[in-house]
Amino acid sequence: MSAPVALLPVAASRPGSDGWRRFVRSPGAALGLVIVVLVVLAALLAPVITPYPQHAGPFVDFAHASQPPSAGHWLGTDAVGRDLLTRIVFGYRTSLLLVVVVLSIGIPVGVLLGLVAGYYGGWVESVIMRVTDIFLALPPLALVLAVTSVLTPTLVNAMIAIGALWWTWHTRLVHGMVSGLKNEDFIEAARRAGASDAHLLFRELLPNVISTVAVKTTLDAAFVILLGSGLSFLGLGATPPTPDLGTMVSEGAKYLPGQWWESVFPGLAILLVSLGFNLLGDGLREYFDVDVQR
Amino acid sequence: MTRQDAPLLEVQGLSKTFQVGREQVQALRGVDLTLRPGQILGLAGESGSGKSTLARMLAGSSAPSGGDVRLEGRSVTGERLQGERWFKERVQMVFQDPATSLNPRRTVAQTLEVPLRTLGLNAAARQSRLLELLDLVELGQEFASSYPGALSGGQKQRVAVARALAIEPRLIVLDEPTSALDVSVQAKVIGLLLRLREQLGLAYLFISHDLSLMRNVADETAILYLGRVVEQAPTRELFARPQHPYTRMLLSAIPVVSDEEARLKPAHTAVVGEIPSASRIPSGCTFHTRCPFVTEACTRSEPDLLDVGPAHVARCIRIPDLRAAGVLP
Amino acid sequence: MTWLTGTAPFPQTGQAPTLALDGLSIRFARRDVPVLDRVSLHIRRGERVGLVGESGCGKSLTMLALMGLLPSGAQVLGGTLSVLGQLLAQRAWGHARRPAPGLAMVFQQPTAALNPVFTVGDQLLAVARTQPKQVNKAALTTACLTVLEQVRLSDPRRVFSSYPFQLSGGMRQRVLIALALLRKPTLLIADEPGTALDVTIQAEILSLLDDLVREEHLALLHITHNLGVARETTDRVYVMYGGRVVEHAPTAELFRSPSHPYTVGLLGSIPRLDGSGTGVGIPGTVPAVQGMPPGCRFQSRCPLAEPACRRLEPPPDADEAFVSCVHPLTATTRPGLWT
Repeated sequence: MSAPVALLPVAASRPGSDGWRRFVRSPGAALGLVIVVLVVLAALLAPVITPYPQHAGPFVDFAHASQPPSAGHWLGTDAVGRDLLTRIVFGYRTSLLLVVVVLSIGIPVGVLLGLVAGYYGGWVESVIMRVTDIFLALPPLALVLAVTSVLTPTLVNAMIAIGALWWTWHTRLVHGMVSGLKNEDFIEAARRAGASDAHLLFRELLPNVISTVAVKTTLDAAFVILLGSGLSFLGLGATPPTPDLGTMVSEGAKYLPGQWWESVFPGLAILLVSLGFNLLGDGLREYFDVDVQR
Repeated sequence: MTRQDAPLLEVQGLSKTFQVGREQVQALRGVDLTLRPGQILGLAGESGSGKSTLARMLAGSSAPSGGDVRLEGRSVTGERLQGERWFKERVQMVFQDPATSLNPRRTVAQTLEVPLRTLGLNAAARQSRLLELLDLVELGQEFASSYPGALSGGQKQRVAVARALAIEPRLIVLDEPTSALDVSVQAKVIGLLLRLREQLGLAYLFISHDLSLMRNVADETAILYLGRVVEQAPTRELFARPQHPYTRMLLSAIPVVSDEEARLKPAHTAVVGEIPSASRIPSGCTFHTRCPFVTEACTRSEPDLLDVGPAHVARCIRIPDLRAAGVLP
Repeated sequence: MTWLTGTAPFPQTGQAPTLALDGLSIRFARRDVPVLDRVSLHIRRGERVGLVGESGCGKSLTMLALMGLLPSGAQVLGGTLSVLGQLLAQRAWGHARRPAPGLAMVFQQPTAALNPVFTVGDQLLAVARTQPKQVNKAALTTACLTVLEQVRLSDPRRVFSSYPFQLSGGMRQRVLIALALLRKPTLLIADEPGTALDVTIQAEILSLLDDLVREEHLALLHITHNLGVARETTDRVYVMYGGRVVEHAPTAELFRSPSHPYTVGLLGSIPRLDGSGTGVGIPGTVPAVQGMPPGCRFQSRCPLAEPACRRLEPPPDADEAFVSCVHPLTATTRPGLWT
């Protein structure tokens, strides 16, 4: 008989209303959610809410170049006279697009491979996991650089490059979980009851894995944004004049420390959105933590 | 022999050896059993006896290394046969730990759907059968949408029983079905299992380390030690006249709650040592390392099962001598 | 409010109890209803006292409170603890994270309670070092080997240098007892000792504890859910349900004539060796803490429940035998209560 667990309020195995309370108890979780929601809304409504939407395209105004923050331009202007605030908000679009594309390729592929490898074992597992190991052994940035320099260095190619290796983390994670789970009694019981392999994979095992994957996804989002910004900083991202946060930082860096706003604000923008996703991920972990309580 | 009496399950010489690292673990070393329709056969033993391995094998979750298993006269020894629907429709299992035998991410209804789908029922039939099953295990209909985390241990075991019943088997293997439950809950679940046996004519292979429970549940009881049956008899006979020294050691160690029961226990037999590892099985009679009556002959060869009473067998060469000396009843 | 005090007070009432827990109440943050409600236990040297109950009764929480291992969400609402007559400050138990001097505990799971990457000797030494008066390593090692002998391990030196995985379950349990003995306790708290082991090995462990109580004149608090074990290894028993003590009696008397409806139901659920059945069980389940009624916590499942039960207070005196019940059962009312 274990300790006071029996006396604790019975935790449902579904988060539910109790989960929400746990979520907001995590420091910064609510803040993370707010940040992410705001950034997403801002990105979606960019043409509507920004003061100078045309600055997001080909636009130059050397009369107003490199101006410090003022009433007309809250965050100042860049070297060719474009409003920084507008370009940052549009830059969020680019970043979020990157996240969506990369994760919607990487996660389903990764989870599927992990499920299959963990469940079937044998040579299937060996093949999948050895390939995964190879990809994981390569430093992500180096691999991405290699791919994008072979193809032309555009944003699309950057997304392909990142997406092509993103599945590996999820495969490893899911494979580890499924390897353990497949030996649980409830899986054997379902098999005894006549369940097919497909049922076991997608209806019995997958629901047990999904919460961990969800948490990892939010943390991934932060990392993808940073990786994308890093690539742009190195000149391998979006092509001008498309606003891109990393490019803005690298361009603006030339003007430090005098016109500091040109690189600092885009940098802070990257920090803000990554932080938001990280905090959200922490909150999600608390929300799903029900599993731990019995 | 009428159809009624034809054995449901016949096991001969069943053995199972595992490879663990560099060692060979002989979990089962030649077990013979017969189970008739509607009968409850109890398998008792401590850790290392092989009872759980036997349970899993007979439930179809692992294939034997040797020996023969026949279900309704048909050989089912190969793993592929045990994966067959025919087998699953006849033999089901209830696991020990209710906390891990139900998928925490699936509701009761979703869990019970699985065997109902295997039966090939349409949605309406499945729904009504689901409610019938809940009724059968005395759970209210409102539990259909609950997740296991919201259920108590006893309620979870009832769901596990409902799942086993859903496919309408003839035999259910129950591996310590109540040992994770409080005793007041255990009584209710056991009561349910016995009622279901009457109602549905089920046969049970009931595995437990709790001999007091076995006394009240099984029609016939077999005691396992290190992978073989060391004594077997109709339950009343086994408990009234236990013959094998190991059985006597077990019975004398059971804690009981009344003086009357204490008087029923064999004289206290000092426990010697612990059960040897199944990867290093002693020579001769496997119990000789712990037996208070051991002689040199015991170390030479493993005895066969001897007749020691009505439908009562025991694997010990010392029994006639001990009886003559008045040590055994 | 009624309770029976059918028997004379227990022997040795003159001495201060080795352990006197009075009125312990604990609640978990933000819950109004206390999870433990004024639990009192008294134990004297040479006595083997059982604390029995099923899951959710609060026996584990009580034990954690005594050992200073309460989880962070548990708030002590009230209660005093005295060891050998000395009242302890609340910071010395409850959440103290160390047991008060004189108390030691034998944990339940021999596998989980021993660190697999250290030898038994290392783990014993770690405890030995915390005891006053032990200075050099040789003296510490001797102390460790001595306790290993006390728990009847046949080759103490070998066990000392072994890793837990190299020992059998029974030997590991003995090591846990040895760890407790190193603290030179006056009170030993045994949490379901031997439950994780085979019944034959458990019998040996229980016999060892008996011997130690006699030889070292210890007080023993034996926590168990197994009534058979309680009957065979204790002198008197406190029965708990829903966070309260519901009955307290000398062991023989409790089993011969249980008086609380819960105790009767519990005993009736135990399978009997004479084949007379497994009993009916007790209908219903333990209510969640928030759902506990005022007064007697067993009301929702008791066939004899009446309005007076809502005013029932826990008994004031942990030394006397009592039944915390408005209508305790007698020989005539007992049979047929749970059918």
